Amino acid sequence: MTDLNALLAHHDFFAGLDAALIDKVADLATVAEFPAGTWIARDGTEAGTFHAVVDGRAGIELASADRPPLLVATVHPGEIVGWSWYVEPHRWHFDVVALDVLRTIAIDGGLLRAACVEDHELGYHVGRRLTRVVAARLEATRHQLVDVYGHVR
Amino acid sequence: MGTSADLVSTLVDPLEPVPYRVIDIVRETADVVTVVVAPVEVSLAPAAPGQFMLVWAFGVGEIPISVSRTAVDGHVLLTVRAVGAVSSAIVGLQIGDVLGMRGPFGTAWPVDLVGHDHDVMVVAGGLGLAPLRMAIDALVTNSPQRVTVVVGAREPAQMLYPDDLEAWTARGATVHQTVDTADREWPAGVGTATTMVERLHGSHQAAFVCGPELMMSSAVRALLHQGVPADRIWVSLERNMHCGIGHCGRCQLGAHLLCRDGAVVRWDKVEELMEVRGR
Repeated sequence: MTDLNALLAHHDFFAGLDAALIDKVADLATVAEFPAGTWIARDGTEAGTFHAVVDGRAGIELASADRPPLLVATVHPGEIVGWSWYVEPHRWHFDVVALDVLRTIAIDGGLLRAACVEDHELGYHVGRRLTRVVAARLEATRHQLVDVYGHVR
Repeated sequence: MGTSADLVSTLVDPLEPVPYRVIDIVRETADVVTVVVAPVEVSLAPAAPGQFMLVWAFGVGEIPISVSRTAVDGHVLLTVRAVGAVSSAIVGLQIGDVLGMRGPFGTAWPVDLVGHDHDVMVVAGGLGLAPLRMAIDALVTNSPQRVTVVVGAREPAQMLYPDDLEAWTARGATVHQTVDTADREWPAGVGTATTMVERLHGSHQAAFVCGPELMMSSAVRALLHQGVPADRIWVSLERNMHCGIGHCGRCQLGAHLLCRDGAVVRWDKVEELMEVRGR
């Protein structure tokens, strides 16, 4: 098993995948490192890469011209940055910035989509894991939306 | 033989407020202060971690406030957010002003029960850190086991007791802070307390949880998913506490009178009641 395969197999997002499926993902992946402050993704640009965080924190940021950027979530080791690469129109809907020195497994999103179409078992496992992430972030977003720490209205 | 405070407390009518004088005020956040009060003459019994006082702002009214810490000479620390008329009056007190207190009332976090042979996860949201403060003090002081503290707040400026968070870390606890939103300078997590609990993949055997009920229910689900038994999770529930001794019934939750049977309750005792929807 290569270092990259081992990194993937031990990453929480991919943990439990068969070795053959890990091999397929590894063929589309590389290890990437970003200094703190580096943009990982920009709102509106093509979501071509799927990052599985290994070390450091990535920050998901909302920004507009009339207010300073605001961190709305941090992504930590064992978690993934985004799912825009999986969902049409494959464009980022947020900015993502490296908050620390960030080490990720960077996977080509377009090739992984194609691999999921070709191998439905891989597609099922990736889709199931992504759904779990989306569900957790949706619940978290709902709680942030109702401002649980605020006064009960 | 009991201490003088114990002796005095047995003589005090639990329905009669005892005067305490404000001797210090610590501004914790923009709308939260910790009021330090000292007995004018008679001391109430010291509160156990998680117990609360019924605090009178004279001429305004009375509300329950958890004791965030007790100190020498019977001093009591009350951390209060200005929400309604009484809490606003308490937040507006000046040094030298007098308020009335009854108590301490209610149940306590079972620090002694779990602290010696359980790794404990403490989850606090917002002002929910106040009732847990003494419990964490006790755990980091006495427990040979692993103590993990997750603290959630709306934003960094709303994070309570930053000095305590450092002190607990220095004494061996692992403290994880998370806020709903922040700027890039924030060195910890952004997201909910539940997300932080899930992230830790804990293998704890017991948990204390206090905060808004939405947060508590969600955090408890995550803890149960991680294998913490329902009978080893305690939450702090607050209702309309008035008498403090289980007589008036205003704080009833199912079969529980929370001023007497709570505020700290075991999750398996109230789990079904937490599914009841509010008005």
